[in-house]
Amino acid sequence: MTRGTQRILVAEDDQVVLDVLRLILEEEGYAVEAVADEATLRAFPHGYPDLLFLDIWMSGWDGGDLCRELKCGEETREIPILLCSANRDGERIAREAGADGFIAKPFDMDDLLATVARHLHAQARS
Amino acid sequence: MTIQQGDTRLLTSNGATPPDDRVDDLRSLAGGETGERKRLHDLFMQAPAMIAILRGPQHLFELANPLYMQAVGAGREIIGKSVREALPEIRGQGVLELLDAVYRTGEPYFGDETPVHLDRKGTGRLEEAFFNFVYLPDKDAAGETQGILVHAVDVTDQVRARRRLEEQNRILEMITQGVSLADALDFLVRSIERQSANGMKGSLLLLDRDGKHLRHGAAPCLPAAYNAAIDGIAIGPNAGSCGTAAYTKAPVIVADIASDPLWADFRDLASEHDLRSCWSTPIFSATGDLLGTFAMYYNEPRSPSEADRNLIVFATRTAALLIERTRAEEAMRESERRFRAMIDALPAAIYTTDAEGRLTHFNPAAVAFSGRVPELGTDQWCVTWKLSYPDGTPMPHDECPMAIALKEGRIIAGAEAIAERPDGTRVWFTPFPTPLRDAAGRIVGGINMLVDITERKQAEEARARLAAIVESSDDAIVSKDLSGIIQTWNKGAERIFGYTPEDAVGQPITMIIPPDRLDEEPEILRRIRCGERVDHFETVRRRKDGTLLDISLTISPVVDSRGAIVGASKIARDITERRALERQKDQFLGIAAHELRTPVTGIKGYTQLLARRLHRAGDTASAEMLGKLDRQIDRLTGLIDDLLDVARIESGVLPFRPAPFELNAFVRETVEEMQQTTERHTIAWELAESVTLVADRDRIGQVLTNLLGNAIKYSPQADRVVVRTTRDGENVIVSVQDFGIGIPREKQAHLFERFYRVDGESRAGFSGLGLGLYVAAEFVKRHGAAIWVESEEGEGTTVRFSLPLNGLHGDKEHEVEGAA
Repeated sequence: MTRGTQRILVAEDDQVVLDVLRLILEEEGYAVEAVADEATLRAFPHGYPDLLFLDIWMSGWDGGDLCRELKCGEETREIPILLCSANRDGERIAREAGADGFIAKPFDMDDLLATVARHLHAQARS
Repeated sequence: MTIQQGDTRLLTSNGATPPDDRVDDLRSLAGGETGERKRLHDLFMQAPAMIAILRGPQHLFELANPLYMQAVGAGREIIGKSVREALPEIRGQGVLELLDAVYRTGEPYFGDETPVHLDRKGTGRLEEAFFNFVYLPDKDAAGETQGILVHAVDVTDQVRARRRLEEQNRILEMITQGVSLADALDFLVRSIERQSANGMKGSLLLLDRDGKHLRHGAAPCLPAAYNAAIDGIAIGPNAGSCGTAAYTKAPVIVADIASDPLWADFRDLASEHDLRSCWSTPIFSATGDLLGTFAMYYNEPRSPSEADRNLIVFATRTAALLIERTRAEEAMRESERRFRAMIDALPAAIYTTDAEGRLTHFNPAAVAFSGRVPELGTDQWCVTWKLSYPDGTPMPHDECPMAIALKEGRIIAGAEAIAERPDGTRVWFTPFPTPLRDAAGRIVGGINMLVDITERKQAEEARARLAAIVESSDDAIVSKDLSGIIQTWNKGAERIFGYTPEDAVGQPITMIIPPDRLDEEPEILRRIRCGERVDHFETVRRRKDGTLLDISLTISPVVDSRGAIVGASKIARDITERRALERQKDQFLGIAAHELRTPVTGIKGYTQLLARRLHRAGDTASAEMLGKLDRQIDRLTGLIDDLLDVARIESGVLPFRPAPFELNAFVRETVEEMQQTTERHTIAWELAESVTLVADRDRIGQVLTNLLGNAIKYSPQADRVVVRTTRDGENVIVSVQDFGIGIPREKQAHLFERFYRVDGESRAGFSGLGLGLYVAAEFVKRHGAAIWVESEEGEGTTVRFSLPLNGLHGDKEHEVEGAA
């Protein structure tokens, strides 16, 4: 939690992937907060994050749909959203859902961090 | 000469019936004293038969009526003389012996057409005459024979006429027995000469085909030199007897050649051969056409007698019949020859038989048909080797249709049979056996034609099989005409669409097209009219109950025998289930991809994280080991990706999402990504003016990535890979060139096959599933494009793929950038 100012909200239903993501991001100094269900996420109990990391395909909920919805919301549209998927067509879904970026699984740690950093910086500038 | 005692019927018929009831009165007729006797005498003298009364054993003429006198020679003195004295020439002719017998026995004698030679004129020349006669014994009251009543009728003319007729028939028969016309004419002339018996030399000339000349026919007794001289004389108004007769078409009687002007040109010739008179008569056919002339020559000046004229009539009539019959025979033979020639030329097997079915003729087609040379006169009923019924059971030859036709005397129509040749091949055929009858209606033979219907049968069987296939097909098979009216409708169509054939045939095909897809039909019909096929066109159709179903349509033009397009056949497959299955597979593969990549994500994440920690902790060696692990994970990921793509390609669920993108930017981006995977190689690009393609960017990206991956992988010694784009007419070609190990020529054709890997020693150490190029090729094909390879072993490989420009938009804005 060294860079407490930058908070990343991660919605990922695979525990191993979530764990490694958390480690990678926390070691870079980001504050990582995992959400396990859609309702909690929508409520943003701790306020809007600096970056939202959404898996597209999660049991019970669809990251793509949620992304599209948030990008339409008056308040939420400014939140940078990275969609993530193990499926090839994830990139297209991400594009169509208006996501800011797409991370294909399995991802390269350096690519992931570069993408995250780019969108955080973009968000900081705006 | 027969004695026909008491045969009154015969007597009546031959006209020599004696007035039996007056025999007694006649005995004393010669006296002529009483009134009754006078009356009888008058009757006797005027009787229409020859009557004479002979007396005593010497047969003295007591009385002879005028007809009798006329018959034996009117000028003779016979009354009171014995027969022997009165008619001395009859000695040795048997007449006297007969009279003696009648006188001696008292039994009458009946003579029938008995020839007697009489010297009527006292010149010593005997003339033959024929008589029907009766010698009746004249008996006194005591029953003693006193004399003989002779009652006779001269039947010479009838006998001669009949004999001539018989002669004529005999001569005419010669023709039917195959005697040549020349021989028959010769025989005729000799017969006339024999009948004439007065030194006559006959000559028969035939009119030439040109109608202007006479040709030698028969003249057996004229000198050969004379015959040769007149052969071919031209007919004309002054051309001797024959030439003139032929010219005038009337008899020319030259009684004295020496003085007749008609003979002016031939007088010397005739005189040279001592010919003094010549009577020529034209010979006409039944229809009045001139056939030739018949002439009688004598070595003396002479005019024809009645008998001569009769003979001439006989000769010309017989000759006419002879010539006409010969010509008819010839015509018949010619006609038969032509008939056989015609039969022989016909392509159908034809043969004829006699009434017992034995072969009399067969044509070459029959030999080809039966596969053997039939034996004339031996083979019976059919030319074939073996026969069987359509159901395959053997058919004995004597039960074949021809046998039935001949035995039952009827034409057999519509039968079918199978003939087996000696070589075992079979012919399915229809026979047309017909009995042949003579004028009286008797069967004299038969003719049969065997028509090979094997092809038709095979076609029928094929058609029936095809019809059964169509009928039993699960797919809807429908045909329609060019205006879209349904012509046929199979069970599959009924099952899929719910309409029965009765509902559908005659209705427009639009009845199964949902309203929002009605515009498809005119386009389909347009393509069919152009002769194009519509293949696997996936669309939606409507059932009778209104529900919609997914179908795959294949529509082909139907052409008639002349090649004209007359309609379309349409196979519709219900793909509703297939669609559902495809969605399931797609879903499954999506899950599989997710489930495979998710653990890899974890592994890779931890690996990289661990590597970074070790690196930061200064354990560079361990970090590098983890780096190697990381690259193996990438390889694993690549293999998973390829396998999933192949699975999708194989199950037909590969999603294909074309969208516009700019080619050059796309190439540069992909190259930059791939550049990061190699440190040894520099990937250069040489790009033509850019275009905006409409294609599935991800898939084309995979293609290019695969090609670049291979280029790098298979050129470990090189340091360069080149990517180029070029325009080629309606296509854009993207090529990837390496300078590596190359591919042997014979292996190049298999490169795009699934699981294909080029083997060989130089390949050892290059791992892979052999899926990359297959996947690339499939992706390219999905874009309606081509992929091909050029390679030299040891020099490198260039793989090119084209992308069609239809669906591509030339984009001028990028020109400058692309050219850079």
